Amino acid sequence: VLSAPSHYARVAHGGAVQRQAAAVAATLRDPRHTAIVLVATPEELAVNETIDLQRALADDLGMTIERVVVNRVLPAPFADAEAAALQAAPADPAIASALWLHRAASAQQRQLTRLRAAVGAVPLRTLALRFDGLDGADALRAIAESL
Amino acid sequence: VTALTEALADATVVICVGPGGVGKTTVSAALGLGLAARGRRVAVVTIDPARRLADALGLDRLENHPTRVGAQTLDAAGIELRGELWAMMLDAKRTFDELVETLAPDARTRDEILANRVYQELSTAVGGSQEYTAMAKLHELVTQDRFDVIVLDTAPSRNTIDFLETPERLLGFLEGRAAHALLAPGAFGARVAGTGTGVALTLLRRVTGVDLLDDVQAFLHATSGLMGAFGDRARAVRALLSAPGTRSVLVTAPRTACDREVAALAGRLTEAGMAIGGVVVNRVHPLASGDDDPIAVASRLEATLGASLAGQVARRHAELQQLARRDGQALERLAARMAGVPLATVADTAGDVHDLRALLAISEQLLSRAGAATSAPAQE
Repeated sequence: VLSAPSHYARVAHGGAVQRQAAAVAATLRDPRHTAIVLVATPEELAVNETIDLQRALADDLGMTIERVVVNRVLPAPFADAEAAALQAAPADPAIASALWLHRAASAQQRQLTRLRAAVGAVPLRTLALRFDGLDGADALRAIAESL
Repeated sequence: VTALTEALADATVVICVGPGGVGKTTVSAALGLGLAARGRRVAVVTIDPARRLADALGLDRLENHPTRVGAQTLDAAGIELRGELWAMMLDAKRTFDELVETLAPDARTRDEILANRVYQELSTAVGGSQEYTAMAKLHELVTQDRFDVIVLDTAPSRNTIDFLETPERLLGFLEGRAAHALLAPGAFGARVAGTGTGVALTLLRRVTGVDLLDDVQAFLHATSGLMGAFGDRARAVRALLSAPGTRSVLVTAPRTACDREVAALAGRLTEAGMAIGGVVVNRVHPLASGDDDPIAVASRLEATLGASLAGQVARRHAELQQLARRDGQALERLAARMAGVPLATVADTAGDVHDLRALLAISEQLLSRAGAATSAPAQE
């Protein structure tokens, strides 16, 4: 979508279409008019796509990324000593759950680290996963607040 | 209800469809591995540009033609395949070029097409060309007769199935009036010159600066010798999709609207004459047995872990149980809506799938005869 005006500007050889497309492309490139927010989840595929998208927008279209938002982030993993204590503890379903979420959150943190390194100076915000799955007006207000 | 493994027992083509971000590529690879373990010669065709699948399969990279997963890699993972596992990653542009090379009547026509601006846009545009080339590649592999089964991973689709429509769209275009008008002897430009349309077009070109029509016309002229062959190919691909050995597998994750999404996709596939092999629900959160009241859990664990850690564990447990219950509800809705269709669930691995053993574990859940039940998380 964002590259369409540039494509049209290139295909048309002068004339009104060329002028119009070039003007739209310039507006999209101008950070005073257009803010680009990249939204990702902390998963390998989504992070790959976000990194590719950021490169394409910046390098091919000359656009500035305003910020990156990573949604559905799990609570932070346990500290190493705590995780070790849980692994050493006798079997318990609750401990198994905690370790499961610890592994999932650790995998997410690895992807977040990769994404942070790739976006460099662009501000990156995270949004916590809502375990209750609510997505009504209150949930939206809470998300707006934390953004 | 039959298990997925029975539904795929006599399949020669397995097409995995579903929305993005549900692990379709992983499921495709796991299905391929599982079928190869059961004695079949399998080629997995993926569109995933990430290196992950190549890494998991122990291949340096995936090419635009199938590469066999080596005995050494399998041995190292302690996996014995009674059949063969091959994998490739679809390169849309490459496949399109190869198709032109195969179908062009002579070298001059081939070069003219490959150099044409419209062709270059058409063959590199993300939408459409990937679907068409996936179908072309599928047809190529089926006619080669080197494999018992081809497992095809497709581009994300929530409720439309572009690959189903692509052959028809192409046929419609080739046989349509627009193409014939542009290809007619004496050519479009000459015929309409002097007429009102011709004047209007000339004016339009001068004002807008767009002379795309010339490029399109040049493209159609260059390709006119291939039209018949392209059309035959599109018809053959269409026939392949509703052939008796072709099965679709709908891949989804246990989220709120998954039952409606899957039902809509299944409707489109059935309408198009494609048999549905089953539904795979990937990334199901593990449901633990027993108490999940945070206060009770915290007091039970306090002596072992200390109050602070026990409290955190109790909270994590309640949270994961909440996710697992929501998944359970989504699964129930899905099972009700898709009654009679084989349904397999795959437990969320709590991270990325990086090796053959992890893929094999998934394939066991997919192809176990009992159908995989959601189990408690394994404590490591």
